[in-house]
Amino acid sequence: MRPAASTTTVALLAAGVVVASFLPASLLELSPRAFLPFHLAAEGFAIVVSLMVFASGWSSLGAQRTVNTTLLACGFLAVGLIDFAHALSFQGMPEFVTASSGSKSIFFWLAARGIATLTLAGILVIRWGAPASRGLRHAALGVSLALTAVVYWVGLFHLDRVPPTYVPGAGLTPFKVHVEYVYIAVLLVTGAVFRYRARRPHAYGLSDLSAACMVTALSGLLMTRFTDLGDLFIVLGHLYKIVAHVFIYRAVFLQSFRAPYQSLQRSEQALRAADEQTKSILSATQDGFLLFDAATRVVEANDAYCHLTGYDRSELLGRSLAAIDVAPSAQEIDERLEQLRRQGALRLETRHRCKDGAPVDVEVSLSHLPYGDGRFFSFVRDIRERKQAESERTRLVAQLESAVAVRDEFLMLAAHELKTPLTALRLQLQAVVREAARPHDVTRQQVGRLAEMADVQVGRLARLVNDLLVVSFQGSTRLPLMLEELDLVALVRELVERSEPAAAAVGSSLSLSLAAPGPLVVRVDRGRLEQVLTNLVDNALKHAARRPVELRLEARAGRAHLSVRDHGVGLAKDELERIFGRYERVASTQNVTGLGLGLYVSRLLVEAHGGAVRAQSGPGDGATFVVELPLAAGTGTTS
Amino acid sequence: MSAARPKVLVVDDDAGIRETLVQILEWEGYDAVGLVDGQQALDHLRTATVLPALVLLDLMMPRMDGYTFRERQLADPRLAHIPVAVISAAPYLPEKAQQLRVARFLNKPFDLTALLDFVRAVAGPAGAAPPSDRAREAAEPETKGDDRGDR
Repeated sequence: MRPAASTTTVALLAAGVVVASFLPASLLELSPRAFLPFHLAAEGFAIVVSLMVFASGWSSLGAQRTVNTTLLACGFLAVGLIDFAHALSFQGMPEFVTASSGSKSIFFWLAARGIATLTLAGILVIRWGAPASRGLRHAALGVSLALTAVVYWVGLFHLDRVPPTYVPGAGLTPFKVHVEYVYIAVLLVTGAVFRYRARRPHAYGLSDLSAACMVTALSGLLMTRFTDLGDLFIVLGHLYKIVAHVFIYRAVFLQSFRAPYQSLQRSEQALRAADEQTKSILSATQDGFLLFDAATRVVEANDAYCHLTGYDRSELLGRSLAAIDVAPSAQEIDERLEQLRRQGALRLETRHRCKDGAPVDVEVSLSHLPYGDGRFFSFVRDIRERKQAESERTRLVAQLESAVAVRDEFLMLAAHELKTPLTALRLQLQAVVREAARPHDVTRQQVGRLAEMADVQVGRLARLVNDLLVVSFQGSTRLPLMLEELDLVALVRELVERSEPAAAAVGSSLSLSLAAPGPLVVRVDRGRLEQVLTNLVDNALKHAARRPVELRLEARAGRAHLSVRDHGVGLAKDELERIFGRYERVASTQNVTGLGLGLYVSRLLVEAHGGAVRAQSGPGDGATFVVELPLAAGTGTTS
Repeated sequence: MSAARPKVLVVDDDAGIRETLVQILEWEGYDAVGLVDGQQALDHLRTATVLPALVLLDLMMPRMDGYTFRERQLADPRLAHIPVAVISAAPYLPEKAQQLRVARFLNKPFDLTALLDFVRAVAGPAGAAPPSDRAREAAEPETKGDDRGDR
């Protein structure tokens, strides 16, 4: 019964007592013939309830086998047994060991009520819910039976030693009434405390115990008022007693059976809620989750893991760890599991196999479940992006390092390259000084020769510095060009004339052939274009092998084509591909000095003009370098 | 070309340096011969009846570099005794250069006076009578000032 309901019942019963108090006791006058069966039935019911209280309380299980329940059970065993004597000793009943009388039955009544009151007050002072040991249970049962025996012994054989409680014709003695009042006072206080405690949640039976105390007190109150057996008060008193016993039975029953059942239900609900909560957390997390049994087979997988690997949950269940993890070997997996067993938890980077067979980089955090049954779970984090970023970073660092190394080597070689003409230049200038210091040996011819040679070296230096400058513009900044329109035919002709002495010096010669007469106007930076053409002619002369170098100029499809052909050893196929590359010499043999910048710089310059360079060669057939430049609008012809 | 002039080989692939050195040494009274690489120098030594008093040797050259030249030279008992000075523009001398057992390292760009002092010390004074075992024959100088390809 809910606390409110038991309170209402108690209030109604109290109201009944108040109403009854205004009524004459003689309102109801049952004859002894009618009262005796009623009394027997009422007491019989009360006895049965008392023994049921004992049975329920005594056989309660587990956590419900408490000191309170034990005391209540044993107390009401005594109450039931003594009520049995009370019923059999009632006036008008046949002899029960000794002759029945009002005093005898009232003695048993008071004893039973006293024990009931003491029991209720007793369980109040004991810590609620303390477990009852086996010894305590048997001691309580022993005390209960001993007490019952003592009460029987006094009631049956030594009633004369007890103050009189009932005088036939005069009614109850003050002793009986005062004892009832003491019981009533104790019961009211006990009931009030139970009531107070019943406010706490899950305080099973406390409100029923409170009601039992209150109703027992009301019953006692009624029993102080009766004058005649069979009057209104004695009948009501017995009816109230039955109600009080029912409340006690409910309290014990709830405590012993319903509470554990409800607690079980609550546990199940909590378990279900926890399960739902875990599931919703696992499905909401972005990390994959896998639960494995002791045989390392998947027993649970979340949505994120399915999403990561492309599997359905049902496909994953039962799959072994070895089938999921792309570990180097089965032994490796065993080692990890052994480590997990030793440490309880493990974090590592590995790869898992997706449904399509592709491996995916993951970081797994493995942990054992705390139940010691070998189950373990794994959070699986997708680290593909991280891995990609790492490898990208490694690649970029390697690229930068190699770029820096190339640049370092280039600077070293550039310094070396600059030193070569500087060495010659220095020697020549020092020779001039040396010759000039001699009083008579110096000749104009010698000084002139040295100055001429020095000038050649200065020219080399200037070209080198120019090349370095062009290369240094390859990056963020565009090479600045001073464009003007000029006749390429005239420019090439000048160059050929200027280079003839150099050609003769190496036993070669230069010739220029034109596809068509007339100028070929191009819009170029004169200085830069001269740099390109000089590079090509120098290169051809270097490899001329004392054979003629041929230049040819023609216009085709809006572009001027200048080819420079030598008849040297030519170029191999792989050389053709590399020859316009940057620092070509750096990559080739150490034996070859020089930066090899000439052709690279030529390519950069021609491309800056919107043109193109290419090389053709057959082995042993010499090499042909071709420069294409766009013709200025409205000039040149298509042949 | 007097028989009294000590012979000096200048082995360098760079025409500017080679020609300048040959010219200056000639003016200073030496019989200077310019050669473009180690192979040419070796060929010259093996065919020449008059051996030079000194070889000025560049290290980085096409076809045959200075290291190989020196190795072959030392392996040839007829040539091994000829003193060699290295002229190099390398920023630092590699470890293997230290194994060359040369008379001098001259780092480009070097000082002319220092070079001439060294040449005089090793090859003897210019125009002086040559040692008897270096009796010079009328050998045609090798390709002076030839800048043949380094392809």
